[in-house]
Amino acid sequence: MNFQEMIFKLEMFWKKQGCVLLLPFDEQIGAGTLSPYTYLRALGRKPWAAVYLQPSRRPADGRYGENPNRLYMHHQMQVVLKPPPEDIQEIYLNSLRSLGLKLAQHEIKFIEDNWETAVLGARGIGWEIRLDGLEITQFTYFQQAAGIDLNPVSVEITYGLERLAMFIQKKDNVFDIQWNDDYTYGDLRKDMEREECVYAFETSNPDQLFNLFNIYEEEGVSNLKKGILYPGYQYLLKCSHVFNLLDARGAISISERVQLISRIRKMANLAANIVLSKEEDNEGLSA
Amino acid sequence: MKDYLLETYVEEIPARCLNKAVKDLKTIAETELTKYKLHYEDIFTFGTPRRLTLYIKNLDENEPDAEEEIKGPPTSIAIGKNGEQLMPFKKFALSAGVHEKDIQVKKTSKGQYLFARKLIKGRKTEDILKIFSPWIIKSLKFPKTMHWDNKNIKFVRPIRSLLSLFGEDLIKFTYAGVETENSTYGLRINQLNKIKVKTPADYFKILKENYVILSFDERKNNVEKNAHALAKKINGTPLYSSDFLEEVVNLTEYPTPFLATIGKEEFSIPQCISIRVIEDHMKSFPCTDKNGKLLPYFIGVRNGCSDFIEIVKEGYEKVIKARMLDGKFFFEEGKKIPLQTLVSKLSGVIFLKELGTMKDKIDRLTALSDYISSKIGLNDSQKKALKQSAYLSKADLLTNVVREFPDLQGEIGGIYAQLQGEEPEVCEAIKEQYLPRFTDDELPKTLIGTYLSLVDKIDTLTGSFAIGIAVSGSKDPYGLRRIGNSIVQLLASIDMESFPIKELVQASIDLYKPKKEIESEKTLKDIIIFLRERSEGILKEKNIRYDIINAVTALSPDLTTTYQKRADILMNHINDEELASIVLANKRVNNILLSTDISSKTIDKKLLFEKEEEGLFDAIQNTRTKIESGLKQMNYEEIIKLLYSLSPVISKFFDKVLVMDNDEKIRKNRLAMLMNLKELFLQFADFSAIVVEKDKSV
Repeated sequence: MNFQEMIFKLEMFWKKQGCVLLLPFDEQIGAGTLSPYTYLRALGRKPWAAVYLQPSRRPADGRYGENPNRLYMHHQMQVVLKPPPEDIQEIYLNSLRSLGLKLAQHEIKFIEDNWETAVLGARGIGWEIRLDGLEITQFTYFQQAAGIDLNPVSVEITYGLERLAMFIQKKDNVFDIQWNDDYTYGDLRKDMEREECVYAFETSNPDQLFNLFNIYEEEGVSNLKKGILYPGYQYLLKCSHVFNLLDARGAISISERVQLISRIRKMANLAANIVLSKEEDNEGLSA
Repeated sequence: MKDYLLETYVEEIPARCLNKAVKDLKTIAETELTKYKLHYEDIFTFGTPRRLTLYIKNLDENEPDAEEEIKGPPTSIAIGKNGEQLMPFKKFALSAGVHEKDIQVKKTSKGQYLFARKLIKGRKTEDILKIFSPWIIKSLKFPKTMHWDNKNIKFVRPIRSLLSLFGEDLIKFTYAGVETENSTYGLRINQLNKIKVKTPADYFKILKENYVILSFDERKNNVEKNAHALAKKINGTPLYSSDFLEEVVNLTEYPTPFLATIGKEEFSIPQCISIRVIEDHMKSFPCTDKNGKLLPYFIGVRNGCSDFIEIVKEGYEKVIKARMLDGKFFFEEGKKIPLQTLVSKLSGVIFLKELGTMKDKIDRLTALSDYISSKIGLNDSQKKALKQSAYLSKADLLTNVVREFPDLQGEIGGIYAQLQGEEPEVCEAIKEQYLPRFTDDELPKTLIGTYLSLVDKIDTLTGSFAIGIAVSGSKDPYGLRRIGNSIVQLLASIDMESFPIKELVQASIDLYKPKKEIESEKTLKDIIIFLRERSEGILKEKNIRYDIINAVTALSPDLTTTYQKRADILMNHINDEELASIVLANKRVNNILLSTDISSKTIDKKLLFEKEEEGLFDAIQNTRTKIESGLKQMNYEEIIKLLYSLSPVISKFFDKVLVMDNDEKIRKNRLAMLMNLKELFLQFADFSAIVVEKDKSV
């Protein structure tokens, strides 16, 4: 099964489970959780079920396209369900079967992995799921966002598509994955990988990036304070990406790190409060 | 009597907290059952990642009926003169709910009263279990719990099914929105199928048939036995700690170990990184040959049976290849940056709360190293090595290897130091700086490593005490007890008759002072007391008698290096009659001295009149020189023998000489002699702390 087909299959699978199929959020994002489709939707009482592909950029993981397993940008399939169905684990395993995996021939382990993101004040309890020792999915019951206890809880399922594809296609190198019958992953992505790494590790200008951080933050905070949620939140995402770039460049000292994280966290809190107060206004529901 | 079975079926419970939960389940059930008058034969509890099972064997089906005696009014008002039942009698019968003929008259200390005997019908066990079972589940505690829907219930992981069978009967109750059923699930192999369970005995059979081994011990034995057998095929031994074994076993309901291979290319990284990759990333066991060298294999443990295990093995081998290459990448990256460059970057790393950065710590450690070097007279090359290793000791905290594998701190720093051509002593010391990490852990093998570990720990302890991080009861968030224990163990490993620990702590306090206001005297005192307590704790663990522990820890803290050796000698000699006589002699000496205010220790030989006091004087002079040399050689066996030899001389002295002579000069001279004697005893131990059996003393 090629890469694009895997994407279709998973999207179809979750669509059948009642998820709305969304397109990737159009910002540079470090992880599917940061997408407003997860983070902002996990807040409040309104039910939610969505599936979307999210290209995720983690500059520090970049290896100039030379490492067979590490990428600057990889693809996550993100599923969010609020509240989660009782047989959610089984549904998840069925999604693997929908990719043609015969689970009786393999080993599935759910290994404790409680996830936490300081920038969002978010934490969840769950597992990393290993398929024959390979970590293919992060499965999390989201417990808190912006430091607020979530009720109802959302479940967040994040598939690492490249790893899964390497497993299914039996490839040792991520760039050898068949994207479709004509193109490999490397054909389509290798140049971009290399350039993104050159930029992140060599040619980016940390001073400029610090400036950008300040500008994005100012713009974001001033809009969030006016109650303008989505545009404001997009600046949070920009700040988060700039932070990751600075981090990859080794330009952030440990004390600066704490400080920058808390500045992003403040934006996340502002955004969360808008979501919750809107819900309260609209439906007279309070958490 | 019937068996009761309660299975709480959950999504995967974290491996590390499973055994405790199984143990707690038993304790809670036992405690709870004592509240009811139910008898049972035995309680067993089991756990796998998916289930916690309580099994009560031969449980009564009913609470026994009980008779209750209710005290009523006195006969004086309840029974008339002719024995007729008066109003209070009837009222009492009515309120107690018994027939009038069931009322008896009994004598009490306050006179005659009416008593009603009432039968309390025992409840049905079935009804009790409906209350008991949800309560048991609710009472289980876990380090971290979660919500999984909109109900207000928290548990370690979502509860998905409840099985509650009393004999053949389903005990109905609902917990966390889950209704009990008479069914369970086997190992998740393909689709998860609900299996009907008729009786508790049936349950055990069904699970066995469906690849679930309920007992941890059984799974563990299986894993150990097979892991060893597999390792034998490659002439190796599996390497694991009991904690890690427990974790691996508790990731499975049905463990099947298998042997997998690591490729040559990936294997070319430091052994310590390979071990971390195999354990942390693969949850598998490394294998070593008989010389402790790592072999290019590992033993994985599949959660499942051996069907298709080749496929699983290939998967693991592919993953480890990628993981090892990652480890290699991190290691190679680290090589590119000299440790010295990293040291300067430590100014961006916080050490502890308000205690500044790791760079500040490095500055203190190098200064403290210099201090200790000159204090105990290390030679120039040792001095240089200690300072350099202190300087580089924390650089590896900034390497990717340590970021990925925090446990490798120190060890990897030492390897990098080696690669950049540092002196072997420096590299070894960096590697050993965190030893010992716990009681019974290995100690640094090198002198420089020992001193580096010591100054590092003293610095942490001092800083913590300075900012008021205290250890109280079970609270010890910064692990100071462990640090204290390590310091004591390090001191005990130093082959010196005495080590200036007090001055070292003082020097450490002084080093904090420019940046931190410290109550110097109090901190020093607190730390010394704390270390003494740690010494006591460690000696206790070594089964040293409490009185002997007190006798040695009463000595100067600088003698911590020899507490253990002295205590061992005392333990060996505790039944000697001579020891008892020394204890007694010491007691006599102390009693006499206590009643005086003598301060001079100078003995005037001209004032010695009696043969016995001359004898004692000579013995003291003679023994003192010998004891001093015995102390230098730390030959405590010799010292105890020397003290023994004093015993008859002391006896004769007390028999023949009156210390409290009327002539002040003579009296003072004799008291001075006793002062000398007391000092001699104290050279070895505080004998006044030792308890000897009276009948053995002379």
